[in-house]
Amino acid sequence: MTDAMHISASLEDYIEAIFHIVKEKQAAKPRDLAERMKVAGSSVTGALRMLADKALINYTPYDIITLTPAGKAYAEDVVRRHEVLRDFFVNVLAVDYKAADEAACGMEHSVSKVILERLVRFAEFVEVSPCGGKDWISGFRSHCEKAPALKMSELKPGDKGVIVAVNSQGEIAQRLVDMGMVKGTPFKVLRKAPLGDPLEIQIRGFLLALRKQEAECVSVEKKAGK
Amino acid sequence: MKAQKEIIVALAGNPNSGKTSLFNAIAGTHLKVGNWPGVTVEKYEGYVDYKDYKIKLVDLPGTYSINAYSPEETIARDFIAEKKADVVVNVVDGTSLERNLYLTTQLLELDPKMVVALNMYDEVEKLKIAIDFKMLQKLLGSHVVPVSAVKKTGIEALLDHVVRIYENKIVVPRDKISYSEEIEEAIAEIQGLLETDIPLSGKFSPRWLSVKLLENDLFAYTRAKESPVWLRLKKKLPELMTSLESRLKERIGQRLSEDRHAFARGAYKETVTTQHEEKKTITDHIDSVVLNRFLGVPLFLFIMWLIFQVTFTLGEVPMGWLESFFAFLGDRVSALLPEGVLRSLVVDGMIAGVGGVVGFLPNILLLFLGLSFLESTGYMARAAFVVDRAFHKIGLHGKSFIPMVTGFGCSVPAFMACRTLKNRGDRLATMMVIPFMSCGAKLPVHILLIGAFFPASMSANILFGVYLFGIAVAVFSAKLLKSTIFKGTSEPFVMELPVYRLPTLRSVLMQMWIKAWMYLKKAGTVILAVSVVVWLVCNFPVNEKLNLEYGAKIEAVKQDKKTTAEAKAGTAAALENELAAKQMEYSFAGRTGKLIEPFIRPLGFDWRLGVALTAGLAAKEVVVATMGTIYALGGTGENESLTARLRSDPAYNPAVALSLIIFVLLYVPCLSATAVFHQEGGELKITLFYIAYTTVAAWVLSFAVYQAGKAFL
Repeated sequence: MTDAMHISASLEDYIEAIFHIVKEKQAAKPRDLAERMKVAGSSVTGALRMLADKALINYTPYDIITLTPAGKAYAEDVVRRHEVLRDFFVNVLAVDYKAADEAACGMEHSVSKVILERLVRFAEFVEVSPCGGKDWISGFRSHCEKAPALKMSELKPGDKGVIVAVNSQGEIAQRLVDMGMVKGTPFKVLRKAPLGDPLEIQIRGFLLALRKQEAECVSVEKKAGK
Repeated sequence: MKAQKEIIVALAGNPNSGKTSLFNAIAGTHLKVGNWPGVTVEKYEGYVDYKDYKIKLVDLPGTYSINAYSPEETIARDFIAEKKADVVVNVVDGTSLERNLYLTTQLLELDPKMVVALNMYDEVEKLKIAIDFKMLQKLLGSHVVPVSAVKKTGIEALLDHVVRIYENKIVVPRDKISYSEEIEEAIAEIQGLLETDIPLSGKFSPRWLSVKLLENDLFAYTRAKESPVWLRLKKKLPELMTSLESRLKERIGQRLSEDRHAFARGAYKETVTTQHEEKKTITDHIDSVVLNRFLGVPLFLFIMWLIFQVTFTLGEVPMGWLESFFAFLGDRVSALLPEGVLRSLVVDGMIAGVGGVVGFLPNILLLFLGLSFLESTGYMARAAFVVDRAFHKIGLHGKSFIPMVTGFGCSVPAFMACRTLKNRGDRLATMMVIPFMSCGAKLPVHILLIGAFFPASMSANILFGVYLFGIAVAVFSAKLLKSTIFKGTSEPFVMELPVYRLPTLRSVLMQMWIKAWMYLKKAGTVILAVSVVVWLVCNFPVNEKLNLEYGAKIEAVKQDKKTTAEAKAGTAAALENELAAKQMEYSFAGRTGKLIEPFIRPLGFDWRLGVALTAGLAAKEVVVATMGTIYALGGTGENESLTARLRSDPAYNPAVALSLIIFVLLYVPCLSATAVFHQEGGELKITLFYIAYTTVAAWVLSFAVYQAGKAFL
């Protein structure tokens, strides 16, 4: 997504703001946006046009603004970068929340996917092995090589794994959690449906079917052995 | 006789926990099916007399949790939270305790008088699963009674518990499910505040309200906002939650769910010991065939085909009986009533109308029998699993296929079957396309026209083509509707595939009967009313002048001395038919036919077909009957068949026939179906759109077919 489309930092800020407003109020108005970004109405219009040209938002003048599916995915990506950086600053570097948030705001546009994943893994690593020592950094290296973060949808029939997190919000996340998908729960992928989707897993002693689309929201760790 | 006291008992539990079977086992046939107010979720009520009490059972919708995400969850949650039940029976599947206990933890939090019914205990014993009841009771703080709905064991003991809990003779120490330390601290603070509000904490468990406030639950917020304590909570709550979230490093709701699951898992691990691990179960074996990559789809198609075969071949016999019964009834009533308007209303309007629809009852019973059987064995969930990808492509849900298949029988039950779809957009889109599945009542029309205008060798293929055409229009419409007006997220496909079970005959028959009964009730009310309306439209106003004129003509024929008696009768019958046809032309239906003629002219139809199509709004098979009446016009009196008459009529040719078949296939279903659509859809706007959409689709496609047909045929 990021490679296919180059979007300037300020446009990324706009799309991030729209994402937050839409989340709160279902749809955004240019006025909300101007207020939130603390800019003039005219510059908002310009930015909105550019975003609409790239098919990231649905926008016609004097109407409400909503995100297209592509726009939503893009915004989620930006928001995630923002949150990962901020949490890293707060939890690992012990920066206070407000300062961390501001710094994250500036850095989120330039940091690449690889670096981002490493920051997440590092924060995890600090939690699982808090003891220091000279092997610590090489320990981190092997931690990174050991188990790359996987999505449940990437597993094959017969694979076993453990749930790491449900990366979604709203109804889907709630359903998945209600069905028992919480951190640390072991499961096994049994099969795919004859047409290739959905897939069937065994979890908490029962059989559950879910679409690839839903399985993509679940990050897992693969367990060795069949 | 002593006055009985009533205890209201709510059954709560997961789907597939055997809740409904237990309900049936306790209440037997004392059953009332209705709707929960405001939503299309069925409500089952029943009662049983036990000791001095009349125990009224309310079967709450099966849910995995009560976070109030779906209407089912909201119903179950509100019913218990608002203390509408005296005692709650939590039905859990003993063979799948770990997952079932998650709901139990949520129910316990609501702090009702509760007993856990550990269902399927016969299977638990067979699988050699050992359950430490004492420990489980201690952990849950609730009595646990082993029962088997199928074998009917433990039911007495369960009722005994219900009564004793109601009488406060069992008081169980309430160990609460404890959450993570940080959360418990926050709960304690909120709970402290809430407890200062006596009326509020008298109505709802303060601990439960505290947890729900932390979960941002709308119900809890609404209740809290109505109380004076809100003034103090308003400030405290956001502070507490922000600091809690930063300490937890995850969303509070997330952690609460994790803790509940952890509790359920812990309780399961401590109390249950299983003998066999990882052994292949019967379910695995069946699934490896039924869900096989190569066999899955053909098997699914075969099973659907089988249900159809059974429905239509077996159903034909009793259908014939019912038809003769209604004909007999009509004759008897005719004999009883004096000739005139009343007789015509009762015989031609009411009996014929209701009889036409009830005639489908055998088909519908068989179809429901098949579907209920598949449902209770567990195959239905697999079928949705198998077809979901294809349905998802056109914007629908795997579960949409059940109503769509039912639609080949009759749209009325098909609309009702859409209730299984939780998402409103999915449900409405499915309902919109059901009319395009050619229903049983359209079959006589297809057969008549195909028989009249196409060679016999081709007729089966053409009929099959008509069905396929309907499906194609449905697929296209679904795609179109889901990407325009019913846009928005579809229901996620997250679905349990229940373990295969052989259902008891009783429960399958019960399910079948409940559905069939709903259908019959419609026939008794809506369809009766609609039949009367259509009868009125086709019979009024009466042209008295025509009556007199033909009366005189018929009299003249009878007086004629030159002809034989046989010829007299023939001519008189022809004249009567002619009169009926002219009266039809004069009636509201006839006028409507003339009125709409300019609109249907481009489709190749004349006003007579306009009348037939208008009358067809009552029921599709009426189209054939009406054509029969109208084409009696100018008949020679010899009993020439309708087929022959159509064939000899210059206004007809294969292009018109095809156009008419397509129109009947697609245009607004009968009024009864439309009334049910309105009930299930719940909005006038949607119903009007549905009428417009089907009519426009019928017009456009018939037009295209007619114009193309004129050029090529």
